[in-house]
Amino acid sequence: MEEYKIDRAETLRYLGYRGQDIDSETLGRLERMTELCLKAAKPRYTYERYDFEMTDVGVHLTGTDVTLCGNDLKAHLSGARELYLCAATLGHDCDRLTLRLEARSIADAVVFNAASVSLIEDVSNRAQAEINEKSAGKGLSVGGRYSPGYGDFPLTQQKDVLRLLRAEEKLGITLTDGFLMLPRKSVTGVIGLYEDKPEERVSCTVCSMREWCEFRKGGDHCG
Amino acid sequence: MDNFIIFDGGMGTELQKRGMKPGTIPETLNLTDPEIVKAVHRDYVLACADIITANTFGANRRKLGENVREAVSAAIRIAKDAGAKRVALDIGPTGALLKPLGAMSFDEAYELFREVVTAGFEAGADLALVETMSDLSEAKAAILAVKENSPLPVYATMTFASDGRTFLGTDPKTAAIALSALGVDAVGLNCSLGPKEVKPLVAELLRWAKCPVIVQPNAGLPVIEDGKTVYRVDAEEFAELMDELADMGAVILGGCCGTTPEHIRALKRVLDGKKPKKPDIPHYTAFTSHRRSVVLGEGDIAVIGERINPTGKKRVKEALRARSYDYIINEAIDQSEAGADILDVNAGLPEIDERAILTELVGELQAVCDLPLQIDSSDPAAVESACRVYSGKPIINSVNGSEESLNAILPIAKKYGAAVVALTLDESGIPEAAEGRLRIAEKILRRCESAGIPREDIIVDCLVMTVSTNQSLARETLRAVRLVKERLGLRTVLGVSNVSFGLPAREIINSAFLAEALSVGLDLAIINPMSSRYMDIVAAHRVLSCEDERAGAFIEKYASLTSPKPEIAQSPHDITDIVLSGRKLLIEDAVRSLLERESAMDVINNRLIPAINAAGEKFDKGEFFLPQLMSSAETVKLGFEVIRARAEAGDVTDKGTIILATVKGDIHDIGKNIVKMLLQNYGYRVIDLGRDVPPEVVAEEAKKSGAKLVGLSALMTTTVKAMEETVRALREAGCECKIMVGGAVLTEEYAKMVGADFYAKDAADSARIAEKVFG
Repeated sequence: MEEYKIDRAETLRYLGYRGQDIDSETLGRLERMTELCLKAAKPRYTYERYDFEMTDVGVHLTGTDVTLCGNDLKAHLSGARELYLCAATLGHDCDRLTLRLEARSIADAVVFNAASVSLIEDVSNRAQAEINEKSAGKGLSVGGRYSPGYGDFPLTQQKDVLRLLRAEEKLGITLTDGFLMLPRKSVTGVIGLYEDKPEERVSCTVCSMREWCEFRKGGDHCG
Repeated sequence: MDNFIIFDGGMGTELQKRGMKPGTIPETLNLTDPEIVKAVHRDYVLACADIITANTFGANRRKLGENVREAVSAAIRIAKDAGAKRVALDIGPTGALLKPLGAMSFDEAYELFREVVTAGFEAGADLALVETMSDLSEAKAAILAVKENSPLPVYATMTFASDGRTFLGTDPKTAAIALSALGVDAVGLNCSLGPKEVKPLVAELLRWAKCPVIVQPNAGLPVIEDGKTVYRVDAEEFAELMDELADMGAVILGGCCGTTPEHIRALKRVLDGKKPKKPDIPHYTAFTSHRRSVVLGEGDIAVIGERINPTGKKRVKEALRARSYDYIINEAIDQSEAGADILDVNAGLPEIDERAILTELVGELQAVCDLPLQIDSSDPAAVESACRVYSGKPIINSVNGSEESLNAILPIAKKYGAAVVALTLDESGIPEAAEGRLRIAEKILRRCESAGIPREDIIVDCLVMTVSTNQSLARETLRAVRLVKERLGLRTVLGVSNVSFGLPAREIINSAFLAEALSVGLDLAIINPMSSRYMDIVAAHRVLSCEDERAGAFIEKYASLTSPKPEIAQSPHDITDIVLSGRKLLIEDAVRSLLERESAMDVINNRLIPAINAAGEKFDKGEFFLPQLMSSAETVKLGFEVIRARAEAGDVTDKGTIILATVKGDIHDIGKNIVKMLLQNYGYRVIDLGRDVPPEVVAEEAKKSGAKLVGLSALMTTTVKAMEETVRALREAGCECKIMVGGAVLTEEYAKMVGADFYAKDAADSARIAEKVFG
């Protein structure tokens, strides 16, 4: 399998980079932290397909106890032929290293954090690409990932998604009482498969970076 | 054990075959649909499983809510009704991650497990199976809950991924050493991998476990077929592979995900008529963290880093008093990078709550440092509390030959499976002659053996005396080391640095003494690993004693040894230049030379603060982005440290106190940490309450400290509510402080809505707000 990558431009984007001169020290830091992140991370992902039906309140996963709620999710899945749940994580060692870096150098920690966000994106894109590949024979292609907490899809349903995927056993993802995932660099999502691939909607509401984004913090956006 | 013990196999998939919907919490079926649970058990009973695992894997309050007792009792009853010969109370993870990476405390986890254990024992379970653990701490909480609340035997398994470690990084060797030290009745692995993949892991478990080994793999690795996870190893293949594991020495065998009654029946068939291999109980001296083990083979030595100790260390004292451990964490990482094998941790200060602080510190250190720890305290309550939360097998420093000490410490060492440092002193003090110390060592050995502590876990400290007060005693200590090794065959440890107390150039004496002590057989040296003199001796000794085979480690360390060229500052006094370019190597000298001419406060106000202001301005104008601002801030921080290290009391006054906290429910706190560093750069005293902080704690600390400004951060939309509650708690407590809030999802509008006084859009902004508040 192809090795995982950390996209430098993405990492810089997460750091609020806007074309400033990058001094050699910052460049060196970027390289060191990228390498460290690739070494510390243990990328893992899983996904499963579910039959589904639209209901008044959301999307019911047929044969299970779970209905994924929200009109935004329904809209996201309109026209979808198949539905997958997926989860991905970088593992606990990235969190451990973040704690260590925060005690040692915040500048390193900030860059490491951005590099890990960029990596977890790559990991979950990998899962999506795999689903895409397997579905190509059916004439279907994947749309964007929609996660609990986006729009009116309740964050509390993180619990249902993780339970269905048995993500605790398979990937080591747990939830806090506030429904945040640990390891911190973990993502889950609902993925639709479409005959005609829908337009990618780039907006803050569906961006997994929105909680960390330096642009958003400044009242701005990247796209 | 005379015969193999066969467990049952997978539960979840079997329940689904009989109609359970995916996503259902299986333990609820004990009450709502007991018949299908019974049907699964029945099939395993018919497949000749010796032990049936009750349907209680996730039956804890966190996963199941209020019905724990009912669900657990029902589960045991159902298993018995199905005809089980013996029923195991199944105890899986709580589903929450323990501190410090997670939010759940050890005690909370223990309470969840205690409830399950009590219910299971009362309902008639025959043993407890603590299984599928990723976190050694959580496994320990569960094991202690069983042992302290029931007489049941306890088997413990962890689950290892294909890299040979659990999700939290524990390897089978460490698990086997640490869990057998805790006194489990069987240790092993389950889930994650198939019977073929677990083979090398089982070999490791067998090599290090001091109890029978249990193996419950999946029916092969999971494969995703048509969007569904399936397991492909069939019953016959499973049984054949399990047979190989039995031949290696595993005694308790069963299956996990994807295994069926067929698999168990086949397993029973291949083991029929066979007898387990006779176990060889290994003897070794070993200590572990949660992910690393230090095993002392014959002639091996280990370095114990001595620097985490407040005695004579101003910064460590300050850190312990403030319960703010960054400085100590850095000491730990430095010592680890310098080559320490184990770290001594001492938090003994008269005016602090040593028990609470030592326990907290052990947790913080274990989050970021892999080395095993030596828990160093004269307070038995502090020792016990720290041993309890410690993840792995620690060393206790120390017990001595007095009755009081033996009676207090040995039960703790036994219960938590710790090794102990045995000081050769007793009620009448330290015997001068080596023979006297030997006698005390002998006494401690006898007492340990009758307390059930194996001799390989006893490390004798023959006590180093100061040559400046009693010169001849250094030789006596070395003679005692030799006697203890020869006569008792025990390992030895010395606090080397004591020898030179009161002399100049202490390193010279210490290093000579270290070399002599190693030559008479010292096993563990408590030293400052940051001194290259000592570490050179250690590295050389390891070559001469053949511990460092073919001198590989020595060559790697010393072959390319060159002295680094110091960077010379062009204009040594231009602090702003140095700060803007983030050249950390230069700042210390620059500040030092300024301090020769200017007062500490002048350097802070006229040099450091303008420099960080300049960096802040560049950030505001978009000429700097975040890593550059942070690099400048770190440089300023180093400058502050030079000033603090040199300052006498009263030289440096802070500009006021600010409290920072990431609100309850939120665990993302990097933003808060950025703000903290910047505010410290401006000379404020920052009390950092950490992340996931309850409103009442913020209010209480604000009142206690009289801080004029409180900063709250929240990163998630969902935790903004907790921010509002915290603001309210502060107001209701009558705090007159100003409140600033920040975080990715906050806006000016949100800030108003939650009742804050200020909205800080970024770190630089928080510094401007502080200036407004403090004037």
